[in-house]
Amino acid sequence: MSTQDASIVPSLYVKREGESTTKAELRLTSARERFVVRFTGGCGFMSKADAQGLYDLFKESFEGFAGALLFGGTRMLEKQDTSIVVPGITEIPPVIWKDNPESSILGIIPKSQDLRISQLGMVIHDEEGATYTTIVHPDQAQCLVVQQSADEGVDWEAEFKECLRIINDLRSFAQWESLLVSYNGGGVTEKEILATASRGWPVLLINGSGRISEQYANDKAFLKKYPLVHVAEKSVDSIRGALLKIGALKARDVKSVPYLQIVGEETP
Amino acid sequence: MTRTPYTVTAPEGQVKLVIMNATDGLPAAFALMGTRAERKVALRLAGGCKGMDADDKASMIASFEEAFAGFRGLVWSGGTRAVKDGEIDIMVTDVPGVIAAGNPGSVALGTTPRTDMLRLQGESRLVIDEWGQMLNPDMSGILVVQNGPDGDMDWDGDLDAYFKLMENWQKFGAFKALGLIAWNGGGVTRTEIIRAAKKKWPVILVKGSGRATDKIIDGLEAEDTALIEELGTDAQIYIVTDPGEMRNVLMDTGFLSE
Repeated sequence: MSTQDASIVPSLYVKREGESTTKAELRLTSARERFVVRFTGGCGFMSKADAQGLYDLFKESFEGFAGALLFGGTRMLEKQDTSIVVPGITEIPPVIWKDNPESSILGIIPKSQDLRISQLGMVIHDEEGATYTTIVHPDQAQCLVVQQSADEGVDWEAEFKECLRIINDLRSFAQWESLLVSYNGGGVTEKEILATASRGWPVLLINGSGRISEQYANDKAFLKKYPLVHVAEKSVDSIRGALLKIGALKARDVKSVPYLQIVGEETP
Repeated sequence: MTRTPYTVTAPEGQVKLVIMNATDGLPAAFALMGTRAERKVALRLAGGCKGMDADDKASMIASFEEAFAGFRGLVWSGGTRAVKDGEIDIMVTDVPGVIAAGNPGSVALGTTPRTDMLRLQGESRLVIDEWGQMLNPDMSGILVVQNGPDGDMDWDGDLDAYFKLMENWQKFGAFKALGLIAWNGGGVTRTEIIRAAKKKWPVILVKGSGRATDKIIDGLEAEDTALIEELGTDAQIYIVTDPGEMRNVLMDTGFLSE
């Protein structure tokens, strides 16, 4: 069954921090597999070198995925030429979702400023001096905007806190499994990695992706302390092998089982 | 451990309780519990057991067990249990737990309006009224609907919440089939039958179960035009007389698969 309908623009839900989100969470459960993958990591501060090959890497790695996807829900556009999309982690889940019709998707957007409707779409963030404008990503089934109130916004950390809450709901009440995939990223990504690992939930760090994900991927003490934190190299085979091992991909859904290349483990 | 009417037999050894105000949005936690079912189909059991003796009640349980063999969906009802002389006083609300216990992949849930103050009795037992009616310990989760922290509700106070949950499961959670089975019951059961029929859900009426259910069957068999209008002329009503017939309807309407 497909969870996609090309004729429908994303449903937009607006909620206060702490409020229940029944419709959005139920829509996630329309995925065939009871597995949610949350993507976190670099956006505006990711270097061009770290972003190289990003889309194809994950598009191929997630071929056959039939679970739910949680992500930041935004797209960054160059101000000088708004036809140019700035590469970032939030571009990945929509690509995976479009390729895998039995998956489901939800974008989480913290309201940091007043929302504005423009020719580019719904503008989430536009800062003077910044080289890009952030809009609601058009390629998603549904999007959840988190705010304090109609007047007050929230900080960017609200995104991962809301994701933790939804993942906890899915794990606790619907018997789902979860995985945080972290590529590149900075201070907020670090907080999310630590918050997820300390809950005992699985994490997959991409080694070679740069910045904070790479730093933790090479932190032996950290990896020893949290055995459910896995590391994959920045290659399709390595990521795919990790996804199969963790259960985000099912062997029956993939054409060939790649050679496992998970760092720190014996290969078969 | 000796099993008593108070023993929790729900999976995981616990019944998750969610309390909502009737005017609030539906709680995601409870809605998600329904999605645990292996097959995305939901059947609500409505009714009561007034006028039935112990043998009739035991026979009712056996009938549902037979009809539901192999069921892997969500089955739910009111969320209470009655106890008489230290034994379970069987009600329709005991059926979902029995079905779920016998059919892996199936999930039993319940809803109940808070009609009185919740209280602890005896060995800190949670009861929902001064007569000691309790929440059903066979169910994975129970949604208690209240009229604010101080207000009480009538026994139909959970209907809006449960009908909305069913619709949300279908509209947003990819549930393939929703339906209602009525057994015996009074005024609230009659309302549930009418509401479900108007939504064009399959409604299975068990003939011979008594009271409101039989009264509607009598009306339909007498071609009572006012009743037929009330149910909706295109309602999907099935009248069954035994577990075999119920099973056939469950198969035909997609709730059971071979």
